[in-house]
Amino acid sequence: MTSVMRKIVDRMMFALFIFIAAVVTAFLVYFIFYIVSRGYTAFSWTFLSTAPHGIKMEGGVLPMIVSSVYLTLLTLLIAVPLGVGGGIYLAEYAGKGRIVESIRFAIDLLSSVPSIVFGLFGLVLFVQVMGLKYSMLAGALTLTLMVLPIILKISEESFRAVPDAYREASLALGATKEQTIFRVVLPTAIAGILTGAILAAGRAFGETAAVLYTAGMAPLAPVSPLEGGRTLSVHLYLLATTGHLEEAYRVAVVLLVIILLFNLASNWIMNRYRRKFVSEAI
Amino acid sequence: MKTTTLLEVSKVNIHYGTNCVLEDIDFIAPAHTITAIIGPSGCGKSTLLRSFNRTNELITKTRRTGDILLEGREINDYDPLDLRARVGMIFQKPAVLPTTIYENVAVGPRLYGTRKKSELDEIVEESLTGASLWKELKDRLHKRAEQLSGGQKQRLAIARTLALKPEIILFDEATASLDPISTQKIEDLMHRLKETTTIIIATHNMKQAARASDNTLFLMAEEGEPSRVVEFGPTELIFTNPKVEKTELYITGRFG
Amino acid sequence: MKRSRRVSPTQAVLFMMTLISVVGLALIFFFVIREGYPIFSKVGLGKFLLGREWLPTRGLFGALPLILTSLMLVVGSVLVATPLGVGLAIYMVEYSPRPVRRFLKTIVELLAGIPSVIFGFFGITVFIPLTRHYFGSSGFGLIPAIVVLAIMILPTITAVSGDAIRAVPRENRLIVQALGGTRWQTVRRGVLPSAFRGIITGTILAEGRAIGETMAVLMVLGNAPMMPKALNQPAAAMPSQIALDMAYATGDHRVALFALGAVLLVFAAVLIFAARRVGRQRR
Repeated sequence: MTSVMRKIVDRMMFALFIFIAAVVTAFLVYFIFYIVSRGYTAFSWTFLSTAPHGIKMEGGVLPMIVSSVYLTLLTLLIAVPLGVGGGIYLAEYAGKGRIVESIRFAIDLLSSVPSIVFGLFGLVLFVQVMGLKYSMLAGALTLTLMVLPIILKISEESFRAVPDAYREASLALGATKEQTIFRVVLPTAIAGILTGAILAAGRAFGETAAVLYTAGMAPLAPVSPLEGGRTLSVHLYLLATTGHLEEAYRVAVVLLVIILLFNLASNWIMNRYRRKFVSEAI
Repeated sequence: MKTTTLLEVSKVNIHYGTNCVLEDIDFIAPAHTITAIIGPSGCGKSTLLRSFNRTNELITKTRRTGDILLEGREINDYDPLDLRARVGMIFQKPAVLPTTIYENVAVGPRLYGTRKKSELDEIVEESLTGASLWKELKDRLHKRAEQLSGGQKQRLAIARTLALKPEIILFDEATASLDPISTQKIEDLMHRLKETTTIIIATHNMKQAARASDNTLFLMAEEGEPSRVVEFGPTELIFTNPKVEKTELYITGRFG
Repeated sequence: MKRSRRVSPTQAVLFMMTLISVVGLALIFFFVIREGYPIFSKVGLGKFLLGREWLPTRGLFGALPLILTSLMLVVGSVLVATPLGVGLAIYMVEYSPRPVRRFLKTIVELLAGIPSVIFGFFGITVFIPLTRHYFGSSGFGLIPAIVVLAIMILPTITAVSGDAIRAVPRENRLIVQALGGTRWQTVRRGVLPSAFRGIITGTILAEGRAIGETMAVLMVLGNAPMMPKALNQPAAAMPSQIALDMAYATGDHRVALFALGAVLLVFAAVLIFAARRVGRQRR
């Protein structure tokens, strides 16, 4: 009897797990379908290449695309070198001492800071104290701190994934430690670093709260890094909360598609890299 | 003294992928005896042993032909889960569940729906006594099992198996990672367990086979061939007067 | 590799780059607390944290309604997301064949990558009408916020508990399987006890995400800074209130928002601290 019962329970749990997996999958599919089916008109040249106009924000989203791309690239420009440098240090130089441990703790803490707090901080330090006003630079500096932990962690991991044999071979050939790191380890870990950068780009591109009060909301395309701008995500927020749903769907589609592309790209790189790495190892 | 055959193995071949690892294995394990499976490492002792309670299905993809009969019935006709409850297994690595000593023993009955505390208490005491652990551990039942020594963990594994009152217990190199004193304790234990169960051990330790078992099955492979039975018979005979020359060479340590 | 104890210039530069995170973190704490501190000295820390009325126009800065709402959101979303997230992790590690596992991994990663503003938008257009339909009221409130948050924190829970489940040694599974345990019993008795700490770590990290989440919550919560009375009524949480009010706040109001930010920082820090402690103890 109990023998039958436990098998029934086993079946039921199995069904439950499948159900959960199906629900999560179905949700994501529905989510994407729902937004795309209502905003697919975003895929028009006019929408992507003109500025919004009028009180209802009709028209296109060109300035927002420019702002988002500008802000993301500027963020990466600052954050990637810093993150990769830090990653190299943590993977290749850092020991297990107290200082390194507290640095790691600080990185963990930094990754847990709520995005709106980054926004507050950016507003005080970059916008006001440093006098950058609402600008791409102020936004990018704020976002840099936000994405730094991601880049740091992923690049450290990819440095650690490089087999020691590579380092030993290079050192045995008489290369210095620096030469080894920059000419052997760094190129081998490049795919991992790229993945980290893309993930960071995705975070920066979609971020709203940290950008709202640092890059501003002006619906104009910035030219200099000292000019502000309204990113796609901020635009979506403003449209959605002021009842301009039709426009909002279209903006959401643009945002969603770009984020999905980021995701697919990092996946693709990671898979390709793994295959390449394995075949090289053999 | 009845000598019913509990486990009967006949014409068993075991394939791993396209490789045949064991060929034409025949032997019987009478009730209330200890059978030792010996042979050089890699000869398929563990694979054979694991096929008796179908745990090899959980680990690798092996395929078997021939018959393995438990009480006259092909083991593939049993439900594998019920079969495993009747044919217990002790592994090489002394492993415990990350919980209390008590729960490590009670887990088996709990799987089969025993909930009553008084019943579980009784089973735990009985099983720990059966594994010669009760005196040592009766005051520490609710302490973590991870703290035990390797030898104690292995006896706890035996108690865990005993809690389901198995007909057969398989020992898969169960003393390989233990010190001589712990090994001695386990061997003494096997001897006592014969009264209630039947034991089959896979071991590379020939002295253990000689000391502890009633019957011995010697497996070995020729170069590039699957393992076959070299000799099977009462342990005394195998170790003092083997019929096959290879057996003598192996047990006297001249090869293998 | 260690040829000399002398620190090369490269190493020094790399160390500086690593330190940026530490410096950044210190600056965040410094500025947010500096800007928010005056409110503590003005109304008092106790009155700020326990005050029941948040009426900036009348100079009342009681953050309790916001703190309570934030906590309710955290508890609610974790309660919803944990069974789903852990269940998904169990399915992925213990049950699913490799192609399915890879597919689900992609799904979870995609879910993790979707910006919160899109979740908020989806919440407005889908969950708000649903809440309105089933629970009456305007639709804005804790219910849609909890649902949206639960979806957003699910990937964190799945990823972290999946790692923990994967790390359970095979012996533990084998113990239960060799006793004749079913697949579920093997998971329940052989896997989950060992993975428990990792799963808890995952939920704590998810709590950290939930308490700091701003945009999605802001868009569906209704933003009424009053003591939360019912799940279907509008409320206001700390991060969303900051984001909303910052647009026009001046004087004490602005200071109070920074003080809220400081409180949020402390919550996030405590959670990370807890996650590290729980995650570490075993090893």
